[in-house]
Parts: sequence; C-alpha cells; structure tokens
Amino acid sequence: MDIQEEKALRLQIVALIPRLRRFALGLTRNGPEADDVVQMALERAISKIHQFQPGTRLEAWLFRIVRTTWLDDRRRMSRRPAESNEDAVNGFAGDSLPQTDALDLRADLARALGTLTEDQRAVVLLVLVDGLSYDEASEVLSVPTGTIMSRLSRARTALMQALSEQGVRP
Amino acid sequence: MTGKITDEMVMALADGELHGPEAELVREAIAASSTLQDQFDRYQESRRVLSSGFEGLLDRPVPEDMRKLVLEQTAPGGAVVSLEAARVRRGRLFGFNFLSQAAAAAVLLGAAALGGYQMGQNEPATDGFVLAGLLPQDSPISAALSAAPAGTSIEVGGTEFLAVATYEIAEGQVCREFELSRDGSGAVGLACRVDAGWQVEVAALNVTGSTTGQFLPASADAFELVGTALDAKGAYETVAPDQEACILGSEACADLP
Repeated sequence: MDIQEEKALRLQIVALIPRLRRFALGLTRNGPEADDVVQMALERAISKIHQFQPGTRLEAWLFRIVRTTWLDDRRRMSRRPAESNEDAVNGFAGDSLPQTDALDLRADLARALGTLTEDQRAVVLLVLVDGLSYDEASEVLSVPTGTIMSRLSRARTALMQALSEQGVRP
Repeated sequence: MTGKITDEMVMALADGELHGPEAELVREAIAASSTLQDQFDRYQESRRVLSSGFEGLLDRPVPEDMRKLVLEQTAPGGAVVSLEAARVRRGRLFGFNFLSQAAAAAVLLGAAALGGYQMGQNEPATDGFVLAGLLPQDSPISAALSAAPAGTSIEVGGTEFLAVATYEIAEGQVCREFELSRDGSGAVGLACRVDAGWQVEVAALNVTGSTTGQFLPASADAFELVGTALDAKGAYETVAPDQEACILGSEACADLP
C-alpha cells in the first residue's frame, strides 16, 4: 500500500465513523462508553492499517475490530481485582468525550437490548440497524449464515418481548 | 414452522433476503396462513422498531479527536496502540511497553515449566509468538489452573501464575484465562479443561518494559489473540466466585463439571 492508497483508506475509515459509533452505542448502550470503544478500535485499526487487504470489505473489518475491542474491554473489566476495576471505570468515564458530543439511546431500547446475549445484540445491530445482509453479518461475526439467522430470530422475539414488558407499543 | 416454511424463511423474506421462486413460495404460504402472516408482521415490526430507535445518529458530528486520530496518527510497525495504551494516556494505573523479544519470553516459558507447548499456526505479525498444546498432567501450570481462584496468584518455579478469569462455555467446558510473569516478562493465555488435562488454546508471549518491574500485561495483539479464542469458544461472561469454587472443586457442587 503506497502513501496515496493509505490516505484514501484513512478517508474511507473516517467516513465510516458514524456507523461505528452507532454500532458501539448499541453494544454498550452508553454513549460515552461507546465513543471510548470506537476511539480504541480506531487506534487498533490504524496500528494494523498495513494489514488490511485491499479488495476486502473495510466496514466488515472495522465492525469486527469494534466488537472485539468491546468484548476485550468487558472481559478485562469483569476479571480485574476490584480496585483495578475502579481505576479502569474512572479512567474510562473520566476522559470520555464531552457528554454533549456523545450519542444517546432511548432508555426503553437500551433496556431491551440489555436482555439480549452479546451475540444476539451484535447481530441485531448489524442487520436491523445497520442494514447488513445475513452474509455480511456472517463475515463480521465469523459465524455461518445459518447461525446469524437463528440468533437473529431469537433476538427479535426477545427484544419485542422486552419492549412489550416495558409497556412500549411498537 | 408451517409445512415446509420455517420461521427463519419468513424472517428472511421480511428482511429482503429471499428472492425468486423461494421468495414466491414463502409469500404464498404467508398469504394462506394467518400464523405465518403474524410472524411476518412481527419480523417487519422489529426491524422498524430498531431502525427508528437509532434514527438520526448518523447525522451527528464526528468527534474531532476521532477524525484526527484516523487521519494523522502514524502506524509504525510493531507499535503498541491499544485499549491499554489508550488508558495509559488517560492516566490509568496500568501501563506497559511491549518489546518483541520472543527469545526472552522463551526463557520465561522454560522457567515456568510449560512443557508440552507447541508452536501454533497463528503467530502475530510482530509481537512475540503463539503457543498452544496439551499440558502434561503433572505440570505445575496444570496444577495452578486447577487450583487458583480468579484474581489470585501462585508462584510456579520462580514465575508468577495469575488466574485471571474462569469461563464456563457451552457443553459445560471450563476455560481459564491466565497470565505468567517473571522479571517484567510475561504471557497471557487461555486453557480449557479436556479429558486429558488442560489444553492451552492459545498463549501469547511477550516482554514488557515496565519501569516498575511489574508485569503489566501484554500487547493489544496478545490480548486480541486470547480474545479471539474466547470469542470462538463463546466465552463472554466470567463465572461467579461460588460457581468457580464448584468448578475448581473447593466446594461441593453436584451439577457442575
């Protein structure tokens, strides 16, 4: 990849940031945390930019990095000793973007998404929110299309049930 | 399912994923069945609810920090640019500098009595190397994996073994994430219990350059390797301490592996 190609690739990544932020918001259900995840994912992406294979789907690559970053972060948060968790949480929130810049999510939808498993949440966001096809979601999540479909079907049922229980009439 | 029409076929039609004769077949079935029609309507409704719930977010301005990061940050080979590094910049307690000194890490490996490792196939491009394999049952690491509760350390041949987390995945298999450290060098890994003992799914070795001499784990790539292995196992949530105690056998527990 020469300099011009890399520059063009970086511009494409910038253009995808809004979608990455929206995806991360759905995963985290918290605007400032979502932006932290995206920021860290972008750092990872740039650090590996020379590993990106031209001709492959950039958005799939970036969605995958965002999800991996989020999962890694969740795991690290959950397994560190309590005092370290506190530092991490403080560090996480303290340097987030200003609240006014962060995205926000309707509370009922955030709660409903919270009833889903991580796998279900990711597939719902990719297919129903971002509009990826089943095959594209399969590429991002590295699972067969049939698995995407079964997760998506169960997730939708659970999601509508959760919204209904909150008195939300879709 | 009604006849040969499954829920997933109905969903695929609602999502625009079916075309041609197959789509027509499902359409006809839906037209003839109020049950399938209800399913179809629910799938469409869930799509509408989700998309409307996230409406307008793409129009929000991109934070300048993110834009500058992508456009201006250099990507030197082997640099550590990671979640952890980001937090270091935020003034967190933890920090590390990753050095690609696989040879030194191999010393650690030997010192930790990690016999039985074999070179893996998925070596990270620039960072350390990856190892995996079945641990001998009499390995001290096997013993540590079987005994140390998450968050606790055991000294193994001059190397500190830290049990990071325990996961119970589908089919009841138990997997444990661990770190090894000695003199600022370290490894992170994932081992899963099998009939023959502990199988190391992946272990990424590295050497840190911590000025404190404390092992401060590992590069983003190392964590990604472990994270990828955890994802592949479907291990997303750590088990609770009481459940872990059952798993490790320190408390009676009839229904855990």
